[in-house]
Parts: sequence; C-alpha cells; structure tokens
Amino acid sequence: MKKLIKMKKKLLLGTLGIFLIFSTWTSGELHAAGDSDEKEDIRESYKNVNLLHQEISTINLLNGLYLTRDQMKEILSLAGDLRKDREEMINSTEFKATLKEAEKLLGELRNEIQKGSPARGELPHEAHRADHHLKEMKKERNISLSKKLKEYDIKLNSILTDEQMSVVNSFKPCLTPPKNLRDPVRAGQASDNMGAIKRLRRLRDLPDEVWEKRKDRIISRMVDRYSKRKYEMTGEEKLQEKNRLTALFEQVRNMSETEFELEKEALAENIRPEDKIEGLVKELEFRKPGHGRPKMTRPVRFLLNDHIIPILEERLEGKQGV
Amino acid sequence: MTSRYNTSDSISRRDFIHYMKKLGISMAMAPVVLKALELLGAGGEQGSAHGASAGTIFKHADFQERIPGTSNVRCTLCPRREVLKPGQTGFCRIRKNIDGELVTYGYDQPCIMNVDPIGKNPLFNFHPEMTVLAIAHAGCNLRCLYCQNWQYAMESPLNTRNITSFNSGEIVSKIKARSIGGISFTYTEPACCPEFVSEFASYCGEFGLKRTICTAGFIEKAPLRKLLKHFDAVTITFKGPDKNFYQNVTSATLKPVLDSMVLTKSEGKWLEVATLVVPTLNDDRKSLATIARWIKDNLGKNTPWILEKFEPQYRLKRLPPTSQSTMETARKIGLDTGLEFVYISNLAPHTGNHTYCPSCGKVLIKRLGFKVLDNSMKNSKCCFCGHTISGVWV
Repeated sequence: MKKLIKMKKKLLLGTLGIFLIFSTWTSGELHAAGDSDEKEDIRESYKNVNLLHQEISTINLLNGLYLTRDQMKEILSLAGDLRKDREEMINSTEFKATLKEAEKLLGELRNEIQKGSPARGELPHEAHRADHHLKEMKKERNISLSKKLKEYDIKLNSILTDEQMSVVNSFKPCLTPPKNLRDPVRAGQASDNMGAIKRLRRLRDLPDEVWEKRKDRIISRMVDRYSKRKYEMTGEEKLQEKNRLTALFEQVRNMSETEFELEKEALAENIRPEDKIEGLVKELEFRKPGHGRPKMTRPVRFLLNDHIIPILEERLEGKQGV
Repeated sequence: MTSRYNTSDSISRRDFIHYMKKLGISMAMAPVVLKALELLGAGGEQGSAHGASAGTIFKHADFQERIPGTSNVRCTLCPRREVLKPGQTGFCRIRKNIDGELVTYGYDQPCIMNVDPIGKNPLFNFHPEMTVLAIAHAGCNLRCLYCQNWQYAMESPLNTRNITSFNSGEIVSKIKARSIGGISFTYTEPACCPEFVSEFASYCGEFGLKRTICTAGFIEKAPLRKLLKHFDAVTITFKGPDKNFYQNVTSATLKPVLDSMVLTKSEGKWLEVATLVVPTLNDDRKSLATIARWIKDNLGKNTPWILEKFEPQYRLKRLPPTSQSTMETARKIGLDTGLEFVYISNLAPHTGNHTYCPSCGKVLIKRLGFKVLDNSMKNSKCCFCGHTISGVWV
C-alpha cells in the first residue's frame, strides 16, 4: 500500500515536473514569438508609412492634374501593362535560375571562408562568375526596361495634355501642397514666396540702429537654419552666403516702396541660396545615368508606379470625387 | 460665521462681492470713457489731420450731395446712396463725412501692388501675354460671403498696411523700364475710389500704358461713365442669377450691376464677365443658364464669360471648393447657350483655360493657368481658318 502511495507520489511529482518544464519552454517560445511579432508589426508600420507618403504625394499630383475619366482609364491601363512587363522581366526563368545559382554559390563561399581560411579550388571562381553573370543580366534587364519605360513615356505623353505634362515635370512630391491662391497651378511643392516677402517687409521696417545691431545675428541664424535643413554648408560657404544675404538685405532696405513692391517676388526668390544638392543630383545623373537602375522619366515615375493603380481604380469607381 | 476656507490671506465673501461690484462698474464704464477719449482726440485732430491717423492720405471725395440745412452728406457713388452724418464712415469703409464734407481714404495709398499676368485681372481676350501692375485699395461696397480677398476688401484703408509713398511718375517709369504692359485695378473694389483710379489711369494713358479694371459693377451710372473714359478693358463680376442671390450673398442689388454691364458695352469698352461658381449657391444648371443667356442677349455672344473656381474663404469656409465636373458643366452650359468664349479659371491645367476659334474650334491660345504657353493668332484672326476673333489683341 505504502509502495503504491510512493509510486503515486513519484508519478505526481514527475507529471508536475514535466508540466513545469513544458510550461517554461512554451512560455519562452511564446515570448520569443511575441518579440518577433512586435518586430514584424513595426516593420509593417514603417512600410505602411512609406507607402502612405508615396500615395499622398501621388494623390496631390492627381488633384492638381484634373484628369478626365478617359485619361484616368488610359493611365490605369498603362500602369497595369507596365507592372505586367516588369513582373515578366523579374520572373523570367533564365533570370531566376541565374539568381538561384548565384545565391547557392555565394552561400557556399560564405560558409567556406567563415571557417577561417581562404576558399580553395574552383568555388571562388564559380561564385565570382555567377555573381558577374547576375550583374550582367541585371544590367541587360535594366537596359531593356529603360527602353520599355521610354515607350511608356511616349504613350503617357499622348494621353496627357502639354500643360499637364508641364505640371508633372515640375512636380515636387509633398504631403501638403502650399495653398497659394495667387497661382492656380499648384500640384506639389509649388514655390510660394509669401513667407519670404513677409520677412523682407519686416527687415525693411527695422529702424537703422536696430538693423545695424542685429543684422549679423539675423543673417547667421538664417544661414544656420538653411545649413541644418537643406544641406551641410562648409565654413567658407557659410561666409559667402552671409555676405550675399547682407548685400541683398541692404539693397532691400534701401529700395523705395514702389521699387520693392515691383521687385518683391524676384527678391524673395533670391533669399534661398543656390541648391547645391540639386546640382549634384543632376551631375550624378549625367555621369552615371540611372545610378545602375533603369532610367525613368518623371511622368513615368509619378504616374505609372504601382500605388497609382488602386488610387485610380478608387476614383473611377466613384468612391472619391474628381 | 466664518468659512472653513477663510484664512488670513483670503478675502471674505463680502469683500469679494464688493470687489466684483467695482470691477463690473469699471468694465461697464470703459467703453464710455474710451469713446469720450476718442471724441476728444478726433476733435483735437480735426483742425489739422481731419481725424485721420498720422501719415494717412485723404482727399475731397467726388460724387457727394450736401443735405440742405444739415451737416449730413449723401454719397452718390454707389446705389446705396448713403446719407452720412459728420464722423460717420460709409458702408465701403473708404468714404467718410468730416464736418459736412465727404472725404475718401482710397487715394494714393494702395495696400496691394503686384506684377500679375493679365489673366489674373481676369481678362482673357485682351492682350493675353501682357503683364500688368495690379493695384488695389482696401475697402469694398459689397459684403460677399465668399470674398476671395477679404483681408483687404473687408478692411478700411486706415487699418491696412499701405504704400504711403505712392508716386505716379516713379511707378510709370519703373513699369516702362520693366516692360510691364499696363495697370490693372483689381483684387478689391476699385469703383469705390473713383478719384484715385481715374486720375492714375488717366496719367498712365498718357504714356501709352493699357488700363484695365475689374469691378462688381455696383456703382451709379454717372461715376461709372466717368471711370470708363480712362480704361481700355473692363471685367465685371456677375455674381449670381437673381436679386435674392445678390441680397443674401453679396449685400447688394442686381439691377445696378446689369445696368453697369450694358453701359460698359454701350460705351464701346472691351468687356468680359466673370462669375465665381460657388457650390450650392449658384452652381445649379438653372442659375448658370440664366447668367449665360443674359450675357448673350444683352452683351452679345462674343462677350467672354470667365468661370472661376471657388476656394473656401471668409465666411463660406464650410463649403467645399468647386469640383472639376461642376466647372466643366458650367462651361458646357455657356457654350450650349451660344457664347463663343467660355473660360475656366482658377483650375489648371485644364482645356477650359485655352482660347478656341469659334468657327473652326481649334486652339488658338494655349494657357497653363494664367501663363500663355502658345499663341497662334495672326493679326486678330484664327491662323487656321482666318475667322476674326473678338477681343483686343494688338
């Protein structure tokens, strides 16, 4: 009887132990799963934020283009065709095979050199060859895609009017387009000088002694703000900029009221320093067209991307007013 | 009985009521004291500055009648024909009775001076590629609920930031040096400042500059006739189809506006009509067709009709902007009525911004907003079919 009780006790303890071990293990697993879920969630949110940025920018452009329903239909069909063409290129069996081979050989090479000694035999050469082959294929694919994109650009040109093309070509993506009622053409970050003109007026209003006392501080702050927001300026660039602005503001202060009113738009444009980043991007585009990616015109980039498809579908279904 | 909240630092209920009484009395008296001070101040200034703030320019106003036996003055500029007591300012906030004399503050102190394309005036069949110097004084004799320039139109020139050193000679020489084709009185209601507007327009005319004006047309016939003498082209805003609309939305009446349009046409001035298409107020087919028909019947089918897109402003911020489809429908109504030139403005890019030949239907002037991209007119004629296009082109 005692033995039976002992056995029962052992069985009970064993079951309890197993249960404890199991529960600890599963809780750890669950915790880890929770962690990865959270990471996945954040990644997903980042992706969504990026997508929303692009979508908002596209909607801003569409709102400023005043497309007709026929134009929308044609653009939608064109965007669909381009997506199909792209997918076909990416999913071609030859490309897939090359990609898989490169993946396999580079993986083997990685494992080999991880052991601490340089890889020997044919493996490095084969991996290099596969990698080179993949790069060549990508290049070829980009060239043919660039050709296709050019064709699409021509088609898009025939759908849009010259004025719409001009809006697309000067479009700067943004979340909220500035509301400038003086200019009805405002799709993206249209240049709006109202703020700059106000600043110039305030500078003109400053009494001479206040201006003399504060001008260095005012100009330094403007240059620093620009350097912080747009691009980092070197000390020399900052000095040049300060000299330029000092001369400009002196000129503004010495102007007659009439002269200022006639010139204010041009003066406001001149407050902004030269955008060197834009120049660098242009140079890069010239020296390395497409930066290894297929060359894409602005209309194709903004109007034939993947996220325009659901937006246009929604508009054509009448969910959103035009 | 002491309150449990009553400490040595706090006040008693009795004291609190006492202080509140004093505060109440002083607050009630404040406007009276301020008014008395203002009157004293104004009385003191009347001898020198006639009640105007320092630096403010004013001038004897045209179009006034003294009411016999009183110091009251009747303003005969606009159909309101207001009788103003001494010290009283008119509905337009520009004209004031000072000691029995009507003076205007809308003289030589504009609050807006911009270099604009002529399309902003708006004028579409008048020197389409020309830029003009747009000038405006604060104030207006209408109270449009949707006013698109309310910051200036709904203010007195005494309260806006003005260009006080206005020098006609300097302006004309600078305009000419910059190849600006002319001047345009727009943004607010230039008809409220006939003294300044006529004088400056007449001066500019001497130098061969084009002179244009955009008005609501709510003005008496005599002043309008006098104004028109100095202008080459006129835009009149035809705001709504009936008197109820004018009464409820603009605080004006329709009849004088219609008379102004007919008078402008009969005086031989180039006239264009503009209508701001406001959702729910005048965007229905019936209203738009009524306006279009009236223009065709009374001004002629060659009178351009400019349909402007409404942007929520001033007291109608709750309304949505006019949709593209409404603007297109409005344009179609105009064309179907038989008008030859119906434009869509404030909405670009749009094919309704262009000028088309009424005969062959081809595009003659391509626009992006107010900017002319391409002009294929040849000596006032269509370059495709030779049809003469109404307007002032050269």
